Amino acid sequence: MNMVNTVNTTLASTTISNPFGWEDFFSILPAVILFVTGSLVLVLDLLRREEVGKKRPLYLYFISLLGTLLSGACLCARLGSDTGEAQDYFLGAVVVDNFSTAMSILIVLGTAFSLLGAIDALGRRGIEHGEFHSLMLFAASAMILFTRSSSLIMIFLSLETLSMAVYVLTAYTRDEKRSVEGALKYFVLGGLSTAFLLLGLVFIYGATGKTNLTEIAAVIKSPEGLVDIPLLLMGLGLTIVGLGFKIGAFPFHSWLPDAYEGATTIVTGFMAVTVKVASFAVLLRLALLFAGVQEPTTEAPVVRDAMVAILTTLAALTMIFGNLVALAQSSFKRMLAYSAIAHTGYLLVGVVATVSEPTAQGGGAAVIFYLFPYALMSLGAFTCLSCLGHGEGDQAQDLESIASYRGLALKQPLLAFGLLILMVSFAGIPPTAGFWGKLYIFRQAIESGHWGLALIGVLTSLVSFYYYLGIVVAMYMHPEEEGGLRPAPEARTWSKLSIAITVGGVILVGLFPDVFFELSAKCAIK
Amino acid sequence: MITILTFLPLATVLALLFIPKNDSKKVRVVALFGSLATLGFALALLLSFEPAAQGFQLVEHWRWIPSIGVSYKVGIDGISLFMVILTAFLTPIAILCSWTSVSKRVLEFHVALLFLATGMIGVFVALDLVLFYVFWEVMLIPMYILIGVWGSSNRIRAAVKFFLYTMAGSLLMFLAIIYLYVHVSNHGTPTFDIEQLYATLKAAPLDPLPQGILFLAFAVSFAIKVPLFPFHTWLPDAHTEAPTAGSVILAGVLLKMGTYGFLRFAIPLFPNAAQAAIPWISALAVVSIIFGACMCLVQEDIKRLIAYSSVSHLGFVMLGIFSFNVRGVVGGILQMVNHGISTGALFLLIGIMYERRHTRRITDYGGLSSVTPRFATIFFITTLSAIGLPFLNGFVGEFLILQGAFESNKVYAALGTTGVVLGAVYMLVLCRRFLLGPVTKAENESIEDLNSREMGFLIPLVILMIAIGLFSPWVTDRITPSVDGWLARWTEVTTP
Repeated sequence: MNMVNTVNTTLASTTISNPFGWEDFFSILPAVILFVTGSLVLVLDLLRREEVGKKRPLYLYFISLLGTLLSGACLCARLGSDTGEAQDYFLGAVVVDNFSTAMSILIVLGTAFSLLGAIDALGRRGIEHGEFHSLMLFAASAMILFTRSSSLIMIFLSLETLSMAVYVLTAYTRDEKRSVEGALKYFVLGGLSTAFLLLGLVFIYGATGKTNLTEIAAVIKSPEGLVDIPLLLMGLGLTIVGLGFKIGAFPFHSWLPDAYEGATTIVTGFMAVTVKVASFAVLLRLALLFAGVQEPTTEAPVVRDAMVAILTTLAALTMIFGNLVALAQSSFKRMLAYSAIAHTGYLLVGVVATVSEPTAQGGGAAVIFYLFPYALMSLGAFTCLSCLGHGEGDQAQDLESIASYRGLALKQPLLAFGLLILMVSFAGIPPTAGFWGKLYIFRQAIESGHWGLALIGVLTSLVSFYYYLGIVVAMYMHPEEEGGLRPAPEARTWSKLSIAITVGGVILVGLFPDVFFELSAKCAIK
Repeated sequence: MITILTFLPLATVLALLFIPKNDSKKVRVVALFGSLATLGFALALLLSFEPAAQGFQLVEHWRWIPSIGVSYKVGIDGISLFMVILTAFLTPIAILCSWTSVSKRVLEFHVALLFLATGMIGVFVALDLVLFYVFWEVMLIPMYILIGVWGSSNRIRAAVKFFLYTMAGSLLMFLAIIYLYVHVSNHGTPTFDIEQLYATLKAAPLDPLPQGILFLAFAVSFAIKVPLFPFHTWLPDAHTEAPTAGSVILAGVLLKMGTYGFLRFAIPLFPNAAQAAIPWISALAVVSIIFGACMCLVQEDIKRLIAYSSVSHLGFVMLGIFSFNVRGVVGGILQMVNHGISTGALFLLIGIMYERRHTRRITDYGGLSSVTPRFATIFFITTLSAIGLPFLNGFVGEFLILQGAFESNKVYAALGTTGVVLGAVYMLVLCRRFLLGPVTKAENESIEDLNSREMGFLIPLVILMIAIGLFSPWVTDRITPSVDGWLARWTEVTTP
């Protein structure tokens, strides 16, 4: 009865005439820009086909890149001018704060680098269709909304939109068997995970009677004890499962290696960065909200303890599983996929630390910090892989094997050096950005008393050195005559640019991390 | 000035990148000049060093990452001074000794070597725990690549083993550093500056249990590097497989980082735990001395023999440090320098002979003194220096160490002394089999003696051996004040 009333009041409030002002639309401007650019590209592509030109449609890339740049500029301007106050728009469906802006910047960054790398990767294979660009832009647009959503409905809608776009992108090389296979697996399991998530959201709604996150938090905190705690916990659990699929946490990771391997390498990089960033943004926001950041009441610790327990288990298992299985891979691409799982584990440690001591941990600053180098490393590594591993079908698979990287340091010293830096950073060895990410995460883990997680993290890092260095061993130490690389394809201009920027970024952040420490503290969830 | 000294090799790397890749001659010359300039700066450092001062000198302190309390702080005292000079001294020698033996990927070789030099000097001058850790790890990658790319047949396995062993220790230290940081943040401003850490930990000491665990984490990390028995197993492989330059740097400098780490970090940060660990670590040191020496007796591979002798010698250094009196500690530090010089020279000599004969088995040689008199003479002097003959450098160090150890625990000193005897045995046996007797193999009859380049980098080492042997007070005068301060701080905390 209580619930029905709430629904009625919600409905009543939305029937006010013309409830949205310009500032509402302005608040999602970065997403709108991406969406409009995507649509524009789609239309332009249609026009292009009619004129049967054989010239490469480079303008599609440049328009898309321009869109991401504009959107990124909007976000940066917002971050620069911001007071740090979270503001609600669209009747509380959208929230704009520094946290979501920072996450959106990472998403736009990932999109831009993927587009840059795609200029070479798609051109080489002659599969330059406008849908690629528009799908990527649509996905990015939905992800920005995802990070900014502050109601259950908005979370679900934006997640569905972004997932659809990414499913299609995974199957983009549709004449390749493994691409379709990976995409199908991703689609089926992704659908399942969405079902979990939806069920979870419904349970949360059922337990609290609200869809708006802030209102839900208020209800949980209210002294009357109106909330059905078991139902809420079930809902939270299912939501975490749903998001766990998206971030690739063990045991919800099984789609990930196949999808990552099947997708065109550029798309893999895109997925590894943007989908993870967006999902972690929402996970962190939900987790912090329910952990009762602001003022824990009598009920909140139950919820928090349950969440800490679930997330701790996930984090530990994900770190162990990802790193151990990555050891056994002979394909570089699959190894990176498992390493992406491992990094999910480290990021989850950051989430656990934040949730268990929300007041002391600065709202997930460590997670924000970690995601930035992670994005750079992944984009750089997948672009390198994309440069080197072109080919189709089985041939592509051969070119992705670690053995095929033998002697690369002789043939392409700069590229090999770039990969060396990226691998060192993945492993978390100073003076690269990855080191500070790990330092920050483990520091928060220890501060919040999660000794065990920190220890597991460090031990699994040791395991990870072995496989990250496996690439270095192949590139530098095996003489070229042992198996060795094919006539290595020359990295093209755009990929070179993208690799140079990411590698340079990894080193720069590694040498001067202070700005980024401050920035991530500023962008933490208040 | 210290900053320039530290990053001069790195600047040389940048200069190297502008040289055409195939012009290996020019690469070598530029790298050599860069490393000689570094040596020049190191000697200037020696001259501007104030011998009587206790604290850190020539300190440079800049903001680096204020938001988590990390600063760029470098400086030297009597403990690190000679380590820095040793590093700067061995780098040009490493370049010279690879002049002809490294012929593939010359540019990369020198880039790795100079990068390594920056990392090593950085480790010795860093006065901020995180800065130290960064340098500590930075130097791993080039060393790993040096072993893995230019090493001999089993190089990859040795390189990976070296890397994983060292990393296992480093990661434990990493966690310990973070814990320390959290502790310090709870008792004052967050900082990694070691002088402030010393002060904060004195004012707000850690509880015995965490202190013990943290000490253990640091100690294991450093013990792997030393290497203390039973953490030594990476060493014979790494030394044997590494190229000559790599072995020289490994033996000459890298091993000292472990003992230096004990002196600078593990002991002063956790004095009570260190006190409790004295019997354990001393026992391990004695085991290292005797075990290393016994392993030397049965080696057929000369490089492996020298590698195990390092285990034995570094055991002496640890014994000296953990005697906790001025003589022992000063002797330990002096012996670190001595070992760098004499073992470095031994690896150079073996590398030279390997270049000519491509074998490291003792039985393949014999009677070299008649074929290559200059080689034999220098080898013999170096041997005498390594076994501690009076008037050569090894004597002073070993004598001080044993004297110090005797003052604090007679049993360990007595056991350690057997190591001296065993050391004389295996080194003299090596000399006999290697240099003396008739020439048994036909290939050995036409071995070329040392050329002028080789003499050029060996003679300075021999001069140093004699000079330190004769004028050791000049060296120890610069070490002693810092050690006095170091011991005073330790005694103050540990005496109830």
